[in-house]
Amino acid sequence: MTSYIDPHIHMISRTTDDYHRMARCGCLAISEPAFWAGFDRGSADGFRDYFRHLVEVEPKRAAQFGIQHYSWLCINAKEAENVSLSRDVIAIIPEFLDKPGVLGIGEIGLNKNTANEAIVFQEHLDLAMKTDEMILIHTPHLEDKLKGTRMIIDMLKNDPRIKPHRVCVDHVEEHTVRFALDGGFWCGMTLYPTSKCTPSRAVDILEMVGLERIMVNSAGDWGKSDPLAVPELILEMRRRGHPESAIKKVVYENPLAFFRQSRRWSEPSLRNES
Amino acid sequence: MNSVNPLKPTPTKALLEQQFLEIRCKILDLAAQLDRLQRGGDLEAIEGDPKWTRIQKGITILATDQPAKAQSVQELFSLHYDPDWKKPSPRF
Repeated sequence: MTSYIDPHIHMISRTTDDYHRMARCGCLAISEPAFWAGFDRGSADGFRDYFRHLVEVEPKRAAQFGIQHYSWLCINAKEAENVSLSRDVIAIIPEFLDKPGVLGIGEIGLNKNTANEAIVFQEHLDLAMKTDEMILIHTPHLEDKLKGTRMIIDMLKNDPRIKPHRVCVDHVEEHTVRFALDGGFWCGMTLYPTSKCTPSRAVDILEMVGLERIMVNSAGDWGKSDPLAVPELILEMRRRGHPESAIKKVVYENPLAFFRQSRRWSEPSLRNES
Repeated sequence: MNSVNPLKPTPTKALLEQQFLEIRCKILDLAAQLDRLQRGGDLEAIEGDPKWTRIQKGITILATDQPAKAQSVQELFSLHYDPDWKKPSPRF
């Protein structure tokens, strides 16, 4: 069995059985970015409770199955349309930045590519630079993705404080992956049944762009998604005859290399069995 | 992307053997979806609809020999990007 890390999954919306199944399939660690709850929250206090869940509750749930849990904090792009609420939430994030397992600011980004979303994205960048945090970025869905990804990369390049190797541009697909890699950023491919990447297309992309600075994740959440999507990619790579060393690099070594840049990364309980 | 990619694509002949049934299934699915639209009885009602126009263009891309068809289909279904959009300024 190949040990793997799922660098993007929303376990708050998954069952404990999923943790169990992921552990049985070789999952050693996950990182959980702050995201939209399925409804717009009414106050910054709602986010404070959510952040407590991410940094206190989920690590304990994951630990029952030997899975190390890490998190990222922010107000997501969808609720960022409300600039006033966003500023209140950004103001409380520093309270949580020194909690164990917090890797940085994320998943920030754009949703419908509006001016307000861009303002809040930039203010998250300002916070991350002020506090020397790593950054995880959500790129938009479907028809908004290409435009939004390019806008995000414009903003990152427009800010001379940004160190590309400490930023992951997530949810890349065929038409956006090269913008992220050419900019020196890490990137993530999300394996979804219908939108984003299927495991087969993700392996196609790996065959085209190589294995440097690229990860895969399930982004499992309360929508149609598969918390075992990373093992599906492992099977697809094997089916095509790709070497085990390449599989290990994509699903284990690359996320580890990216995470290790965080000040709060700790890996004593990680065991590489592959 | 500068380092050598250790992943070699599966040779075409072997890939065809491996994926023939999957490709057949996907073409059949698409054909059935187009039949469904036709059975709705009013194809004229969607003439000029940008969604239908893009679907028709997408099918055309599949029938060409051009490389990177998946990327072309993605770009077809994407909104226009304006490089001169008004960016917020970093606060140092």
